[in-house]
Amino acid sequence: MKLLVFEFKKMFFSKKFLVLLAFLVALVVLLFFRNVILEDYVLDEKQSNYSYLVEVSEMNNRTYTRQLEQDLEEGTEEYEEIEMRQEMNLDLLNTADELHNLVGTDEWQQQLNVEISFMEQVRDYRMAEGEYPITEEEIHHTLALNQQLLAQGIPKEIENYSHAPPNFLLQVVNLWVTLGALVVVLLLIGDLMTSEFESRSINLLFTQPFNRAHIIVSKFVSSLVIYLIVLVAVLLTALGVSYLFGTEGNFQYPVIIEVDGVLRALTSVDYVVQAVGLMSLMVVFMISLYLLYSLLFKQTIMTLFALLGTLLLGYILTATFSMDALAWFNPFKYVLPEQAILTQENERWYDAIPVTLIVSVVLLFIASTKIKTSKVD
Amino acid sequence: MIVKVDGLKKKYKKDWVLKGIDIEVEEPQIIALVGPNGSGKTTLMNCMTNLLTYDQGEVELLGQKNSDTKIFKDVSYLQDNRILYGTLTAYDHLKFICDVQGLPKSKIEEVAKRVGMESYLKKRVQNFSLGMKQHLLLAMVIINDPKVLLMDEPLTGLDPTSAIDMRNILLELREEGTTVIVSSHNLDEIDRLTNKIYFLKDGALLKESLEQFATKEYYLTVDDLEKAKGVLEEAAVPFLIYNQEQVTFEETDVELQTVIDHLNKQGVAILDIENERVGAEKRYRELFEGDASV
Repeated sequence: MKLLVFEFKKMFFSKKFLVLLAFLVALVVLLFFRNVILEDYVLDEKQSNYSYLVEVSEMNNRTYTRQLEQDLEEGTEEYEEIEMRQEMNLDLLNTADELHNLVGTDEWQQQLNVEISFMEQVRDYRMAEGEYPITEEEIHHTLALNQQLLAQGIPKEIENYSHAPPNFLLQVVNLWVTLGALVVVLLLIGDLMTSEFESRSINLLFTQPFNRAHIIVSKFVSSLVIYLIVLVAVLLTALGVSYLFGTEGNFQYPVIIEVDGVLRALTSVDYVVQAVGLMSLMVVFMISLYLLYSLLFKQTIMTLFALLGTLLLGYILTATFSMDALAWFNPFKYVLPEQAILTQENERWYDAIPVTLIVSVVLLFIASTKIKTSKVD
Repeated sequence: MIVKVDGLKKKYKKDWVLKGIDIEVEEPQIIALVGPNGSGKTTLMNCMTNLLTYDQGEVELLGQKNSDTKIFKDVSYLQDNRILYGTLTAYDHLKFICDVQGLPKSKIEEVAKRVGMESYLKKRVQNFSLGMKQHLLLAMVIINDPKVLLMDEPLTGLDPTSAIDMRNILLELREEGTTVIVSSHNLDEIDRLTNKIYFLKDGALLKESLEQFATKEYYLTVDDLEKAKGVLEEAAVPFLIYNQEQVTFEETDVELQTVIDHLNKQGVAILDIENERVGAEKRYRELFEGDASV
């Protein structure tokens, strides 16, 4: 405990931690105001997108008209198919035009309903072998999301440009779990132990009357606490700035996930808890692995190289050889935890939690044993 | 046995840095470890405190193997200032030592007063001068009243006043029963600290008592320096002129009384006589003359 306080003080008062904390808080605030500033631009973009879809439909319509008038003979099967597609395309054109006109209005329920109709029309049109620049995945996702929003009476927010607290928090958490936390942790703990060997300050710790294993435990706990401080600061900043300057939101806002090929909805709170939880678990694993590597290499660059190499290799193997049976034994699936939550194909987001914890404890145990005989040469 | 080093050998790449070091200390005393840069003084101390691996030999401090970290309850090691954490204050460092040693916090004020660092106790180490860092290092190693104190170049960066204070503290510690093994390049200070000197040469330890090498160097202040020079040159007395104002010679070259007689006979008045013991430096020159690093 006494060593823990000393280790924590060393980290907390380091220029690196304070600068990084200030930088992250500033970054979150800037991100929020970027969303506010770009709101009109994004709405314009959305309108332009619908305009583009209208143009696509108009172009398709001209093609169909030409085909019907010049290339095909009336009464043939092909003629009837093209005629049917033209009708469907005209419906799409009208709905896209309606959506274009609804952008930026307060008629959010109507927007959702029209968008549902539009996506259903696109789906039907594609089934009738019509070509349209919207993917199947986009159709399914939009349908699922809009139906959930209607059912719960929540207006739709623009993804990644919202300034409602729940949605801005989602955006920040997504950035955090998509490499953000990994980079922050690497910056925070990158030289946690190796700098002690490089500067020889480890000599001070090695010539004190306590079990050297305490060094590992205290470094682990203090770096975890520092990580949590940064995490809480980032999340509170996101919530604080969006509450102060943002619009009203709903924490039941749905996040669409895919479980065994079926689209389901999570509330934004559940998603945030799961994503942040898994990322934090990954951080526990990373710190444990770092501490062991730092005792093996005693050099910052080598240690970071080995750590990043292990994480990268683990993740690539996980992504390349997706073996359902191994889901329970693979901590590397949480390198990018967002994926583990959003797509759960024959595996669940929580499958690898026990193994990640166990492996972390084992790594810490090996590091604690190793440091007892560790020397500075 | 307070300190027992038995056949300590350490190889660095292909070279033996320490070639079978034996040290036995049975009574509290101050031992000086002297040798040129790279002779292995720090390596020896790091091996003794189990910071470095060694190829052969055993080390016991206060009857316990050096691999047992419990020895550091009574053994302290003053190392170079890189062990300090710049972002923390001197107080943080001393509190840490107090906490892990199980000492009361009152020891912090006590030791700060003893080494004269009360005024910057709460300042961050990154703003310290070299001398202030040495003070803190000293405070950190004596706060637990150790029975064995290893010190690697403790006088580095100290101004003359601080060096004198450091010397007095070490002499007090010896009186209190602490065994001090100190490495230093400051041979004058070593002369003032101890007679027991271990020279580290080519990885081997030459243990010597300075008594057999100790000699006095005399500094005479005379009323007519030019006349005195002529008298001594005529009498073939080996001497030097120190600082353009004193005649200086070693007692091993010529006896004091002989010089006084020569000068008095020729009417040169002697105004003052000072002397200094120069055993460490003399022996050091004998042992290491010609070494590139001396």
